[in-house]
Amino acid sequence: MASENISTEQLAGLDALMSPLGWDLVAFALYVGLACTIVGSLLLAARFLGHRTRSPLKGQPYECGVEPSGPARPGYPVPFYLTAIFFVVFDVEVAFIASWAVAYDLLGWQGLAQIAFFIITLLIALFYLWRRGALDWGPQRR
Amino acid sequence: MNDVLLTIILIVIKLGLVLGTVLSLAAYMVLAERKVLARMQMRHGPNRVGPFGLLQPLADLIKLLCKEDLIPERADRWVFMLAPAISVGTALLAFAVIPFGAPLQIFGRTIELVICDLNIGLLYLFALSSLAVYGVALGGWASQSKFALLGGLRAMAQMISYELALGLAIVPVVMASKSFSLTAIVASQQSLPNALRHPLAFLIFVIAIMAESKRTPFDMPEAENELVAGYHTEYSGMRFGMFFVGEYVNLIVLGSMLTVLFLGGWHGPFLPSVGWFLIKILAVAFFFIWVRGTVPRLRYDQLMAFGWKILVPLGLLNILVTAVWLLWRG
Repeated sequence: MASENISTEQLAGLDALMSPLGWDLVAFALYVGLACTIVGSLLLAARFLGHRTRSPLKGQPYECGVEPSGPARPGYPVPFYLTAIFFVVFDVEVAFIASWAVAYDLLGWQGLAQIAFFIITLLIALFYLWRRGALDWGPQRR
Repeated sequence: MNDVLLTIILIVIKLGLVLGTVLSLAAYMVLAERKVLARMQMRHGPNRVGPFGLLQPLADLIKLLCKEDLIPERADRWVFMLAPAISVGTALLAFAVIPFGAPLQIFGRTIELVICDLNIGLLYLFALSSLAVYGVALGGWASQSKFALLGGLRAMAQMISYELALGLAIVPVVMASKSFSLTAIVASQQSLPNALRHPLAFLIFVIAIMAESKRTPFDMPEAENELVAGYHTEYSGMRFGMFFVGEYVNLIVLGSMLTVLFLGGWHGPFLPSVGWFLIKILAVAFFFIWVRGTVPRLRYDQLMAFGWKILVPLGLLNILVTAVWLLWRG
């Protein structure tokens, strides 16, 4: 790390503040700032460059030249909603599994037995959803 | 104070180089995709602007900047205007934790070739790829158009489903390196890349990132012949361009993720480490383009069934088997 070379008598206070991770965080903050600047300037360019005219036809949503009919946000199929719910459930569990994976060797066989119980419960839940047809799109076969 | 100044200058130079490289690589990725696809379809592709069409990205940029920025009358104006920024922003920010080379010695100091070696780098990447869903979902939602809404919904459901498989596929990698830090993950692959150590996880990961980037054969969100253009149907000018930039930066980020997690990162013989890293990213990108030129689009229900009924159970079982094997070997 770069901060190792900062002489201590010069910058005792700053050096303590700027541990290696400290410099990394400075770099990170600068990067975030730079990226936001780029995105912001692109947004401004989109706003102010290019000519603009208004007409009722231009304001309409594009539906292949046919006049739009009905509401723009019709009810959408239930499977999308179910997918979102299942994602929340399963993704949280992936987080648990990942946190076990970092220390799997320290937790040993006992940890493995516990996470295996967890994973198998998860698999059973998944097969239950499967059997109930919650993962099927379109009409049910039965 | 000189040392501090020098450190900051070095950091700024590094940031400039990284951002410049990522953005210009993204621009040329568009050209490369058009060229390679054209060759695969016995065409020439863009070859009018500059030698071999090399100035095409510049021409496209100028064209997009000068186009009219249309906002549909009933659209949710602010959300509509800001959604592309989420798409680009998350893709750009993801690059902050990716190590792209071995530590470098300049002016008697060591420079790590990574912007920020977060100890939870992997979780950071996943958080950002989850946030990226918002750009697409909000863009589709705010447009007040049926096609855009449907495209946004499809993209959302697809991205979150495959994110699950993605998350399960990286667990064996975390077990191999015992760390979430990407630098540590690269270091753990010095002798053998993870792709050979965990082939099944590698396969799941490749499929999942292809779905995550919404590319053929998983490009239902933008299926032209049913949805016009999906979530960006109503976008024009630079905002449309931003979705495009975001998509290609994201392609580079996913390629780097694949490289870092499974292909050994910047490790490789003879060439300098940054060179290896670039070669691997470009090879992954070429593979993506090749797949796009070869494989037809799946049906949406097939896609979701594949994700939930095959990849997720397989990923879970893979974790169990890997853990037993690793503990057995001790």
